[in-house]
Amino acid sequence: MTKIDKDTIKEMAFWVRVRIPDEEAEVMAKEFTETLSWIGERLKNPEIQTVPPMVTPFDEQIPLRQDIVTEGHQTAAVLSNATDATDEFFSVPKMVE
Amino acid sequence: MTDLTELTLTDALKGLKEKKFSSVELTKAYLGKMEELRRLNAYITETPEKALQMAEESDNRRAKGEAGKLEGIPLGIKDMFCTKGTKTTAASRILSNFIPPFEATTTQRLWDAGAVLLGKTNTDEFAMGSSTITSYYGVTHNPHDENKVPGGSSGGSAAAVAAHMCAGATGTETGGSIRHPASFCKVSGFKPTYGRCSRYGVIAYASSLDEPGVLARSVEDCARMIEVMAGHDPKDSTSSHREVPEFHKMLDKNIKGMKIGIPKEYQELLPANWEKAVQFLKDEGAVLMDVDMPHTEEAGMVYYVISQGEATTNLARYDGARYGVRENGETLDEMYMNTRMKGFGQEVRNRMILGTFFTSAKGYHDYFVPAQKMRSLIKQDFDKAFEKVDVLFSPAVPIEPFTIEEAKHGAAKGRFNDNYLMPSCLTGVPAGCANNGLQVIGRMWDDATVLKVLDVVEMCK
Amino acid sequence: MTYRIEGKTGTWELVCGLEVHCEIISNSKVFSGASAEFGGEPNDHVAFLDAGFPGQLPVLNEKCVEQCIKTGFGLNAKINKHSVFDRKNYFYGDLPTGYQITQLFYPIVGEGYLDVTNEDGGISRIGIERLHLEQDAGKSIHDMHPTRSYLDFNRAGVGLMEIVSKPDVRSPEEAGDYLRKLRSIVRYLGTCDGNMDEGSMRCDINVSVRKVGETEFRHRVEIKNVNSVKFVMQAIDLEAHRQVELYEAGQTFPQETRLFDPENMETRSMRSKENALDYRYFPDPDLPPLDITDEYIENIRKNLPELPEVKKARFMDELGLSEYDARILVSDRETALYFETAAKGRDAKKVANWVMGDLFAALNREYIAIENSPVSPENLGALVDLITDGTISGKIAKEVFEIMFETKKDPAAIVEEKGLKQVSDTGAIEKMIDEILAANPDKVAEIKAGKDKLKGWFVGQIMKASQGKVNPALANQLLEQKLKN
Ligand SMILES: [Mg+2]
Ligand SMILES: [Zn+2]
Repeated sequence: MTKIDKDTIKEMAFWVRVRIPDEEAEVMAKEFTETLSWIGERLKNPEIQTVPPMVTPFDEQIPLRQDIVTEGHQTAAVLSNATDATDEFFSVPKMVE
Repeated sequence: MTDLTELTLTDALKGLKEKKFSSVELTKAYLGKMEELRRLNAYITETPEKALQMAEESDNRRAKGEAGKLEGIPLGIKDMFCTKGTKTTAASRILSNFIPPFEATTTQRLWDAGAVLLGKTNTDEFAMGSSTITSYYGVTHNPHDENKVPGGSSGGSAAAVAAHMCAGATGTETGGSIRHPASFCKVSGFKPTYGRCSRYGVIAYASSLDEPGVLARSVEDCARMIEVMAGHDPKDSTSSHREVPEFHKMLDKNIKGMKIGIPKEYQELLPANWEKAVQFLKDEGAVLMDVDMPHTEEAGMVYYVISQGEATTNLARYDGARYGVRENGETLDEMYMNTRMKGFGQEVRNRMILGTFFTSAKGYHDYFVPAQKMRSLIKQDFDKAFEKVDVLFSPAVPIEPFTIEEAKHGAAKGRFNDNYLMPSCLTGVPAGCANNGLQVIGRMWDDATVLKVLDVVEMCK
Repeated sequence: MTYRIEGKTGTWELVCGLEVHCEIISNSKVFSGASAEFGGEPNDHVAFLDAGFPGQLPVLNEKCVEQCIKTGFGLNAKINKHSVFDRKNYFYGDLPTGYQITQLFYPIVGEGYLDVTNEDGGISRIGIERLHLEQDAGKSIHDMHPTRSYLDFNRAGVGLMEIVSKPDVRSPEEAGDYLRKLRSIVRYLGTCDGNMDEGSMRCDINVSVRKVGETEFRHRVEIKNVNSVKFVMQAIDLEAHRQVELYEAGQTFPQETRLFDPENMETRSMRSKENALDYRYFPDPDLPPLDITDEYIENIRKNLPELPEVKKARFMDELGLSEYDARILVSDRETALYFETAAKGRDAKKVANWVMGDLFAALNREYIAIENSPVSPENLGALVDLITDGTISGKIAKEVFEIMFETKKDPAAIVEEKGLKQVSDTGAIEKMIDEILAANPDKVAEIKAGKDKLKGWFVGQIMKASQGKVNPALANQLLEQKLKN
């Protein structure tokens, strides 16, 4: 059985770059553990071993694009929604290595 | 002149064609209705100036004899569709300043067919919900009872159609988000086969489930819109090359001898009009029979795992760096956290956190892949059923709309209560809900038959 | 000498694998229609997809698929008819969607190998684990502002082939030769320009060590983004020694990611956060699997250019070149192409000598790449022809070559212009010989007395008097006749 604790919730929150207060994480961990246990039970159904995973309903071949340049040279449009753009660059707080 | 907003899309087209009124007149009538009923909060963004300009251009085209299939028809567009130059928010604060520099393929096709943009309709934030209460722009009210929710997530579109604030509207389905509000607002809604309508320019929730579709006052209206929107798009790798029929011409109201299956598992709760509808279809000459869909009950759980897993990564791009509302921070990570914390509502944040688990190494192996296998079993249910019958018939949402208060206190959160809707989302089959709350589900790519049967179902009042 | 590290507790060996990212040569990016060309104004080669806009969807570039398959053949690898695109999730400024589209579970190319020369001069076979297709990230610039980083997405979405070797590398030399071979192959195939300075070929190194005789792997350290063959060799050597020292001091060290600092000649740990990442791979629902047919693969195979190993064998078998010459001449595509053009219909050995001798020397002296050589291969061939047919001597040819290198002119024109043609008019030569003999009666007497060696001195005088234009063989023959009289 998968047990999710508060710290796991907080770690997962960091993975998607949101914060969650301790109390909320506590509640979420408890509820999620219960949900997972319920889902886990249902997924024990041996029938699922007889079929492949279904990734998508789409059943056609992947389309291939010709290697030609059809886009770009639209810097103004690309930057038009940016909060902070300097000299044609997007500007963000200094990224640390 | 009578109130032009009373006309269905099909009748309005006829009136325009017969020059009984112009698109500008029709558009003005709708803009008037939008103003009058603004309290319903069906629209996030109204675009009256653009609408009038488009209507005028439409009238010019018609005068020159260049009328398209939807020439002059004013539409609402769910705010999940990117509209070039018009704010597109996904009902989220994080995109509350976003003006797309490109147009979704499906909406472009509507404009190319002559349609007019009235505005962008409200939805649950990033289409995550079934009551349109998680919108950053506030709840949409059900026009039939303003204390109630319109359903969701395409609640703004459904309410706008029901209240005659547009002739038709686009919607998107991931887990029932067209049929659910269609049912709650008593309008028609249609979700075509996954791959019929391009997802290009539609803000993603869960990519393997998202399917653009339509809501309107009648099945015929839906058919007219969807045949314009559907068709192969080279910009979407999951867009089908299959031919798109002229759906509205196939609605011949003849279902004699058609085999209609009623899934046993879809009969736990039945609405008041159910028995009458069954009898009606029999009277129309259809052959009704029970079918088994044994994995129906698992659909909600499978949806929960897959939609959250996919959503988490689809929403990773909203970080404030390139577009959208930014909240500053000392470091890049701080900026991301501040932006995403303030930018997303709680429901979205929670789904992203849990979705992270389902795509983590452990969650993927233990839950995501098994859920995808269960998805295969659900698909098998459909394959087997469609060996015996042409379409499936059931209620769409077997309950009455809940109040906004109830919804806020979690009534809508009854996590796995959309079981009549979800299996068809997971498998990608076409499905629609008539304006009497009854739904028809068909074989992959057999959208035409679904619409045809639905058109008959709708006659049963 | 087999690479070994002698420690206090015993002898250690290196266990190393390489992950090389090669930017694919194509006109447009792997999933968008923006230009894949290097350079450009910031954010100019950017489609909305490349900047991670909502609603944008990937569509696969057929050229990138073809380039991966070609490279797969170059690596003697299995081409997988079924491959799948996955999302690799992490947040970073240069990653516009928060995930990279790559191939984890089913790569387009499977196992293969490369044979490399080891430090003993022998051959080591380095296994290839896989080659997969993925997107490059954008560029973040940190030195334009004290507190800001600037983002440019021109490179975001350019196709990459990630080529992962098995942990078969046992010395820095093998690693170096592996990279050189790999570069040579992708350049031959035209799938990547192999330029490590511009970052079109980048290397991550996995290093571990173990006692000689051990069969299990100890835990490894990854060194990220090393950008020259020399640095790769240095980084491996340094890291291997660091690990041996730690083991021998009884210290443990984490399985982590490190950076190589060539200035201080050390490897350094990166933030530990990076190390703990779960990339949460799962198949990208926006892209159906890539299924290709035998016919498609066969079509690509049929049109492959000749690869260096095959070409080398042919140079030896058909053109009679030595192993050494053949190896040098096939080492890169441009040199081989130059040589083959110049040698067409000529004595290959003579042409090889000119290419590897005077041409290489001149190119090295002026830092010119062979594809930009001022002496075209056709002109070098023509120069060899002039020597072969006796128009000029080998000595004059060297002079002509230098003029060709400076002026780009063809050799016949230079010979004509400067009057460098060999004199073959026997009358004129005889006259010249008569004069020289008359001026040196004492030496003539000595020859007649049997001092044959002096004949060489006379030939030299003739050559000098004619400024090298006399064919030495002819001069010799006429001298003999005169002395007999
Ligand atoms: Mg790697
Ligand atoms: Zn990589």
